Amino acid sequence: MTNTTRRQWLVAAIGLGIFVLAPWFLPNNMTQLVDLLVFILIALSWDILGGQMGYNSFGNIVFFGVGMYLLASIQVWAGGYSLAVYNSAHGGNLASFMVATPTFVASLLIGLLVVGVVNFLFALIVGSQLLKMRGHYFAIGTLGLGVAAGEFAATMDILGAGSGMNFIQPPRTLELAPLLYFVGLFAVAVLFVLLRWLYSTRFGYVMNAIRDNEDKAEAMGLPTASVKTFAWAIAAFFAAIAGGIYGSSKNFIDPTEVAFSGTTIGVWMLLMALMGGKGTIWGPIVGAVVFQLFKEFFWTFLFGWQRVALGLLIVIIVVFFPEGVMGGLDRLRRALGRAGKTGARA
Amino acid sequence: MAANKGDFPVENIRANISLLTDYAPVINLELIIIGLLVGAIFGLIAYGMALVWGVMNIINVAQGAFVILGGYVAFFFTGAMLDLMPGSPRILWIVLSMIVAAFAVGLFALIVFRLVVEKVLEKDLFVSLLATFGVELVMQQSMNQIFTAEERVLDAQLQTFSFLDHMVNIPGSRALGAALGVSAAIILVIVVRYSRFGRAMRATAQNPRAARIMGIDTRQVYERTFALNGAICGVAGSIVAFVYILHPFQGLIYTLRSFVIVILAGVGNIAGVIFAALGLGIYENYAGFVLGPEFQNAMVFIIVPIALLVRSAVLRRKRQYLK
Repeated sequence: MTNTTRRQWLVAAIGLGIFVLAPWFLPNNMTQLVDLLVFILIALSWDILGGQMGYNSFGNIVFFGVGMYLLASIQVWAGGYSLAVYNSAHGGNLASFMVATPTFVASLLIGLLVVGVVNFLFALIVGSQLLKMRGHYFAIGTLGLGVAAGEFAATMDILGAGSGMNFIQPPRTLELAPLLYFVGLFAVAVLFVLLRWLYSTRFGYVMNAIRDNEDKAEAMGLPTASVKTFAWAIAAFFAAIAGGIYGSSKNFIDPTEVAFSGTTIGVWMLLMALMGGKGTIWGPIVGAVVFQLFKEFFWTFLFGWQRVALGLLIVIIVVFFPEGVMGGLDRLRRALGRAGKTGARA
Repeated sequence: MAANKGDFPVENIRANISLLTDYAPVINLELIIIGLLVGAIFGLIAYGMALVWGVMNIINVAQGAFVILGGYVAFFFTGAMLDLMPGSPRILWIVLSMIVAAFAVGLFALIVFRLVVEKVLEKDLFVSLLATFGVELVMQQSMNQIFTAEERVLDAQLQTFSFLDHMVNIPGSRALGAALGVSAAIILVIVVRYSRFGRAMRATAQNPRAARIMGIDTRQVYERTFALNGAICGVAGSIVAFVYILHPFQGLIYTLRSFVIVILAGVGNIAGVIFAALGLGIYENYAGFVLGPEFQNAMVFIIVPIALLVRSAVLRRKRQYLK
């Protein structure tokens, strides 16, 4: 182990420690903490394609939304109810659909895994076609997919159509937020270790080769098509789990405002990666933390104008700081005359 | 039109199709005419987007917000003028509001260019996409704060024209909107084709470096193109104000629609934009009629990945790809 990697694992361990202890220090902000973990998950998984492979996807929101709906449906089925009956009940009637605590927890945990696997396969199928396009066209095609997914979900009566769908009520004795928090933290840890390992393998190098020059990578005989699809499938796995956690925490799914919200979460995920510094493993994590802080700050102090401030933030970041925090740190370090020893790049 | 819960409305679809083919073929006529009218309005917005995209290589996500801003300008201008001079012809102010909105939004676009767009000109398309998205968000939310989320309609007070024993109904406002849209488009095409500025614009689109060598101030061309696009959006917005409804959050729909149209026409194919817009208008009317109105938007947006996949499949046979 070189000095830099050891230092990085140390930082990771300290970060994990902080996250493990956070619920005891901020017991009143559990929802925001769960959101933060969800944001880290989607930003990191977006960066697999966007940062490491140079494919800017606006379509990861599809997996996020599908994951959300699927988890909600699995939990309804696990309770022994029919989806159509459940979704045609509204308001106070929903309280009559009860599940026992063990069933609820088991269906949540197993459901999240199922949701990930299903979306992994889904991304293999969609990706094998969509990833034939490059550059802007890929971005645009995935954008269209995301919007269309939301519109279709809004037409499906079995999923509650335009009025959305509620997650099944958690049992009254269960504290849902801490459970979701630690599930999310586990997923983040797994994703981080997985990506650290993945980016150091041949697979990771092929991804970087695709980003740098896909034609040359192909001419060298690298399996570009399968690497691209597989990379997207990994991203889909975690994006879907993030969607499940987010939906479960919010307890309500709106087809276009929550699940397939291309204009909020769909853009936030790449904004967070950009803010932290895309193409680095720490960037999306730092970006998600900074973004969540900004967002909560705006929402608390700028009543009514918070979204205007968010838009201004986007413009300012994109126009003036496109390298993000990690890029800025890199530049700072180089300015301090320690070029070459950059620990920031994974 | 409501299907049983959980069922895909196959029966309804079959009934709707047979209505079109066997029982009332006249409805086809109405669908096509309304489709063309809708297409004319969207074609104008998409034309502006195609100009900016083709000349500057920037996808202007704020397009829809420009349109809505133009709509509000026209709405308040017409309202103020009618208050000022009661009894004056409404149509006159509606037509004049088009010009006012064009200037107002054109000026606004100029400011946006100086502040934001200029700085992302040479960068990756992805960067400009995000930057203009930020502009869209700022505009949308500011309009929501300033004009409130109330839905507004500019009542043109035109009657609906009915033909063929009330089988074909054409709302007068849509006909007026299409007429104004088409005349604006004709002026636009003449400007792009024959004016000195239009020539400079096309030269810059073809090869900015060569254009600079030939003494064209490309920065100025970019600036004017963006301002022109703003003016186009202003005109379109003033039409939207009396044909549809104005709402701060509706902007993104116009952006996405024009996006679909430009993609269908193919980037760089500015003339094709008009045909793509008209075609899409007819297509979505049919989709909405046959599948039910709730499917109309979904059917429009699913076209994007499908069109791209088809085009990339065609290109792959020539060993090329979309990029």
